[in-house]
Amino acid sequence: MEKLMTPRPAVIERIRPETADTLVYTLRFAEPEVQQGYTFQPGQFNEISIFGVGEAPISISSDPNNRETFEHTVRVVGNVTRALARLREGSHVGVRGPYGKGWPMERLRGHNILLIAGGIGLAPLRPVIQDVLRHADLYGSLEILYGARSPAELLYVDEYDVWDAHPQIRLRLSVDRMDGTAAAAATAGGGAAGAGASNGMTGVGVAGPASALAGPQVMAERVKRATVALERYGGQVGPVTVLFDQMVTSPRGAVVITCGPEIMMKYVALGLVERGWSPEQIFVSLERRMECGVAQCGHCQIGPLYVCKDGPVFCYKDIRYLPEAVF
Amino acid sequence: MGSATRVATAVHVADQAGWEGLIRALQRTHAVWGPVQEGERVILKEITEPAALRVDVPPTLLPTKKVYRAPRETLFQFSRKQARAAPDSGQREAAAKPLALVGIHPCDLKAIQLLDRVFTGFFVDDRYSARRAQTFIIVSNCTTPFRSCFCTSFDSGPFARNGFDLAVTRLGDRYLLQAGSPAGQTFLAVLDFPAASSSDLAELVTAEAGARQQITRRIDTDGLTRLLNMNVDHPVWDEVADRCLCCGACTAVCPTCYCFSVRDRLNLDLETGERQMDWTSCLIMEFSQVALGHNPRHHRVARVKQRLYHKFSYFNDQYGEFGCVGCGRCVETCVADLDPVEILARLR
Ligand SMILES: Cc1cc2nc3c(=O)[nH]c(=O)nc-3n(C[C@H](O)[C@H](O)[C@H](O)COP(=O)(O)OP(=O)(O)OC[C@H]3O[C@@H](n4cnc5c(N)ncnc54)[C@H](O)[C@@H]3O)c2cc1C
Ligand code: SF4
Ligand code: FES
Repeated sequence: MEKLMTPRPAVIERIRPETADTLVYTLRFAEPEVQQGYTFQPGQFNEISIFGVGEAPISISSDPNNRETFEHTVRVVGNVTRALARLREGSHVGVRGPYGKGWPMERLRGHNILLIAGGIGLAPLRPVIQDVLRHADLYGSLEILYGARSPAELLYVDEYDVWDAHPQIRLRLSVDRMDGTAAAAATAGGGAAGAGASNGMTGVGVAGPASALAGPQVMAERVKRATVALERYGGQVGPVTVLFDQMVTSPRGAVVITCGPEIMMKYVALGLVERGWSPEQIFVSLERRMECGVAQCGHCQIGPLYVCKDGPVFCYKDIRYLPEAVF
Repeated sequence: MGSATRVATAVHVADQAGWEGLIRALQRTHAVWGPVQEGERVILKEITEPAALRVDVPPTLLPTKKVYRAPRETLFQFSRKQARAAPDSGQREAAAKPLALVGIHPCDLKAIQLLDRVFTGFFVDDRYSARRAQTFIIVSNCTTPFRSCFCTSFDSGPFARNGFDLAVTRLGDRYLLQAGSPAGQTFLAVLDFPAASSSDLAELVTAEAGARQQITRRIDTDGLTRLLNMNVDHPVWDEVADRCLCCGACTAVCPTCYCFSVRDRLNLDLETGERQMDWTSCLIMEFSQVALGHNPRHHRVARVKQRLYHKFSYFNDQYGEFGCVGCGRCVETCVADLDPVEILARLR
């Protein structure tokens, strides 16, 4: 019998710097039969291993229809994610999964979708966007409201035009503050390292000198494109909820899927309920510490729920009164 | 509760020599583990000398999870350069004799049944289930309950009802033996002990009733989950949090606490190593902490509530039964004298 917590080797086919602290990895299982047998649902996650360092649960952020490879979008915040940032294309990592319950795809099909994301929270939602692009006839409209802390931290900037150009998709962006200018971006590595300093990180950039993260030049270029995107897609300054006034999706027959910091999702849910949405239409993706992914280590529990098994996606109506969720 | 659900097989009687012979017979095929008195403490350990095994002692310091899920387990070996987990040869397990647990209390047997749900219910942990499947269990019914026990609250004692291969009840110098499984029946048949007399059987019934009567500590489970859910902000939680040191001793000794942490340990060559799992505790600050310092159970009160709510409310939602078996170990172990019986009574 397959050992429950033993990862399979996977090759890093490609590494793409996304922001000063985030990278996108394209992976393929080293054993062809493992790759062939691997499928996932949008919103599910894998456990990624760096042997000798540890394991981290990371959402799958790629098109579920692609059976050749899969992607992870990883923000450097600690030991495993930092070690990942030091790897090169062609390196191996350990992968096991997919785990958890993803977005309610059955329910999304045939309905209008309101997708609200904050920061790295866009990663687990990207597979939904890609499925809509590929199977547009199965869905109604898709409205994306996406917010990041600054222009420098907007993810997938180079995909926005393709998304929004699709007749069923509409994109609106926000940033908490506009200080992500090219000059600020040049020091963004330093800023992120400051955030990481409490984690014992020091020195150049978030992951040290040998990382594949975007350097100052690349970031300056990126921020330019992000600033253009902000102008193009109704950019507002403030939390993502400032976009509610521009929102065109109406509650009737629509479903909300949201992922971001828990406090953001709380205000999204409260704001939507105020605007006539029902808790039963809103789906959130929660994050908890995980050490197994298979409902055995106990770490991820919230009340009676195992986030790794019963989630990470939950219907807002089922968790809003849980004693330990922030909702 | 009652004897009606017990597997109805004949009761046999062994004297001290016969009982030790039984253990010796079992040792030929199994690694026999059981309670051994060591000074003040009772330790669950492998038995070499059958006379050392005690069936009339308080619960072992650590429960049987220590053999199914050792305090530290190696998940697999790895090599950093190859970046992969070495396929487990399974040699260690295969070479080992199957396990026999002898003299464990009914509450611990119930705890094993609860852990079965955790480790094989939603996802199957192959190593756990392999160990479980080959384990021969001789449960020891409690005729003299101990001061912290409250097993009757959870239907987990003082006598066992199912889940064992043999049940032993010690009455003075006699060991009354009853099979609870085909394997137990076969084993007992070979030993050829005489059948119990009708007065032995009558004594067995009296012993159970007597034991039951001696257990006066009780958690009222009627509507307990609801009661807890209605009292998440009750002042008792702050009082418990003020006294609790969050040392994790209670979770270490609890037979149903199963949480573990995973970590990679490198060998001195800094190239090869092992991924290991260690027992951990939801009372420890780092348990729920995520990257960049955020912690949904930063406050001690949140952690003490998690432990008790999981036992007496959430476990029920997850696995259909309470997560406590009333063994009293946490009560005996707590340096701050915290006792779930007293704490929960405060909510009534
Ligand atoms: C369902 C799920 C999906 C996620 N998806 C993504 C994603 O797509 N991209 C991304 O960048 N991050 C994602 N995260 C967060 C990511 O798991 C953490 O940032 C990561 O575990 C940090 O590990 P580290 O070793 O770098 O940090 P350290 O601080 O060194 O962490 C040490 C250990 O703590 C645990 N841990 C720390 N933070 C978290 C956390 N937030 N969640 C769970 N365990 C944690 C892990 O066991 C980790 O090995 C996701 C988390 C969850 C639960
Ligand atoms: S909570 Fe205490 S009494 Fe209940 S099973 Fe665990 S250690 Fe025993
Ligand atoms: S991650 Fe281990 S129980 Fe959920």
